[in-house]
Amino acid sequence: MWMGNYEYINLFGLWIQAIFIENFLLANFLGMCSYLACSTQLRAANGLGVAVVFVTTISGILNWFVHTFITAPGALGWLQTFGINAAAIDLNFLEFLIFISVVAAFTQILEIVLEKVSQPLYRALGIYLPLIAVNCAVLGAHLFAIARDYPFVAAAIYIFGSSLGWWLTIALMAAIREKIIISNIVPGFRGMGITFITSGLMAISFMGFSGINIAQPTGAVAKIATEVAKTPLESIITQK
Amino acid sequence: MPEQSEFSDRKTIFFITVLSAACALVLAILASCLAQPKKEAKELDQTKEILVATQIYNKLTGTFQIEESPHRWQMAKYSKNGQLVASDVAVKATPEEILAVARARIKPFLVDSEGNSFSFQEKRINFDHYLLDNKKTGYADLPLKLAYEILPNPDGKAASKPVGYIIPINGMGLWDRIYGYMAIAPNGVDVIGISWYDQKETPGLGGNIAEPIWQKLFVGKKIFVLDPHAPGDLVRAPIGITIVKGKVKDVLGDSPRAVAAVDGMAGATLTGNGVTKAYHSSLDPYRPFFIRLHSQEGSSHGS
Amino acid sequence: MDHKESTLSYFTNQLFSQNQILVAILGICSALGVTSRIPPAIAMGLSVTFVTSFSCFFVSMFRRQTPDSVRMITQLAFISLFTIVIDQVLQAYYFSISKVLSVYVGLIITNCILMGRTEGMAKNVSPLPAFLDGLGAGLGYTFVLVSVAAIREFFGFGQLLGYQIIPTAWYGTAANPHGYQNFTLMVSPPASFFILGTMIFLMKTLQSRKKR
Repeated sequence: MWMGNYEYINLFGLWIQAIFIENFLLANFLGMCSYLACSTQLRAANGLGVAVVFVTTISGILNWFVHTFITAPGALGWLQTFGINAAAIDLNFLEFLIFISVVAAFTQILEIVLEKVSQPLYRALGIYLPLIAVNCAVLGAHLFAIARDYPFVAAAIYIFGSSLGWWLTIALMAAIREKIIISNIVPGFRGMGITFITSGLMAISFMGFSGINIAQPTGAVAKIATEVAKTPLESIITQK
Repeated sequence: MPEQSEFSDRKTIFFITVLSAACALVLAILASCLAQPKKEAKELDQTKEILVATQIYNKLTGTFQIEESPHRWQMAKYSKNGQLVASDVAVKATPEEILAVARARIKPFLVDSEGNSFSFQEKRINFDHYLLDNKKTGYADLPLKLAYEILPNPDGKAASKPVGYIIPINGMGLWDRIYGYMAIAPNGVDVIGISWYDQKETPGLGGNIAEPIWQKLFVGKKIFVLDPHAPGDLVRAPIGITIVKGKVKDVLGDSPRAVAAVDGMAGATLTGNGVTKAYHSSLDPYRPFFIRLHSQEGSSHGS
Repeated sequence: MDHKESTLSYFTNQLFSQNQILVAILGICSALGVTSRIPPAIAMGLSVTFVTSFSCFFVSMFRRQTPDSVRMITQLAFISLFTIVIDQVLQAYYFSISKVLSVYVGLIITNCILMGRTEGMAKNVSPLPAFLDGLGAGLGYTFVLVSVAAIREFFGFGQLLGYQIIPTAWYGTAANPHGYQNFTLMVSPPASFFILGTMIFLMKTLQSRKKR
């Protein structure tokens, strides 16, 4: 449940895969709205990127616990220790509602804490914090990690990597847009049009990473299985 | 701000509590109403794919089919006693009929690493628990592996022998795990058909593995690359279907490996590699079972 | 007469002149992800239409009872409620489509169009205009999705709705290597960026011409 079959090298591979190979913005198209709106300036993009990484990772860890102990099918089995037989109850239909509430609540708490703890940071992030709660990439990263059934550490690494990849992409786009604004673009394409075309070209270049498969678990359980499968065949023939 | 002072903290908490309770109630009612249809939809989807692999159900026409001559199938419809009868018009198979045919003709059993077969009752293993525990990681590496036997079309004759066996296939495609079935003839060598019931490959490229047109290429292929000088030797023959890059007749020509090779899909080489690996790793552990089948078939034909 | 016209305008505005994807540039995420073929695009579009129109309706209905401090949470709650409804219905009755859409149905909750409509319109107007506004927004979104999917499916597969439009005889084979080949890039993610970018360009040009 915690590490599953994942060795440290697999976790590193998973991290690289989440950032580059399955880049959330360019391969999965999640988090586009704030990406398009806030990528005009590098400073704003960086501020938003850091906030997204922080919110996604921490609320992702919280949501993993929610999934494992509340909303997965048969997850309520731990109530057995209190004498309540709840293993048959399936709360899967509440998953979306609880996930988005956790993200929204965490964002709200973060905003309040930041306001008290660090005024400059609060003012820098300002309007972006509430936006993060409805960022597709946040909920998307959580849902993807759940759908793939990652154990805890792998899920945390995957979610952290996905949000880092998001930050990387928005920073790249901001850097490009700062330069493009002084170029002579066809009037209709200025602004959003050229941003889409540029994103498409970036997506093609990121496609070059596809097929690199370094995130598969190769841990202890998998090794035992391959040993069992190698039984001598000649002995079976002579048995007949 | 006058509007906000209208709502005291208590009223806010009350509002949120009522809202949450109402949402949860609506969803709980909906979930319990839809629990049964959801379960049936999932079961139906997987059952359809098992029947596609065994060539009992045709996904393109949505009808049943029966084999009228080797590798040629005729449309069929479901008749009341569970038999499939040939039909010239396309009669779409209903979900109830599909489930009924599958329940009657597809029987799960267990195979051990020496090729012996056991029923689930014999080994005192609960079928549903076994499925739940091993579905994700696959059955090929377990000491007791899952397989299904395909019983023939019931036509009133005495209990007949299985007309084939289904092996669950589990592997890794380009993006995520792929799950499917391969149906194998009673001689343990020829392929009856394949299907993929869960894959997340690129639509239009790797996703083509789920298309009946490509799956048709597997019919009549052999899962062993037989040595032409020793065609009965299944111990040393490499096992597994290979997806080649390009067309088999261009890449392999008349090589003995051509009987176990299938045309690749343009732009989906990596998915093809994943499929090849999936077949190798899912079929190899069943080799003793196939050897047993082949020798039984050989002895029954008096070879 | 005047009142009736202005109510309907809530609907028609959203379809074209204030189309959520092409003008407001919202709801892009799913527009790019599920448009490689037409059926998932239709399913996604209709799901979003359902969720948007009913969420707007209910948000508007309770707009006076909702405390301002929990305004956004309430909107999210209604949006999530209807998203879960559509997700469960798809899993029960349209299993093959739900397999293709998979996590994207859950992501309707974070679709910017929904928050945009509930926050921008529904909380300020009465239920019926809000419903029409949501309905128009959803249908405008569906229209864009289906257009992108039609282009991608046609050029990427040579098909529309699964029916082969480009004759198989035209395709290149080993014997005839110079025949037609599918434009496979259309099936991969970057193509939707290019198509949407061009559609936004066309919309912008059209609207600036109208202003003149």
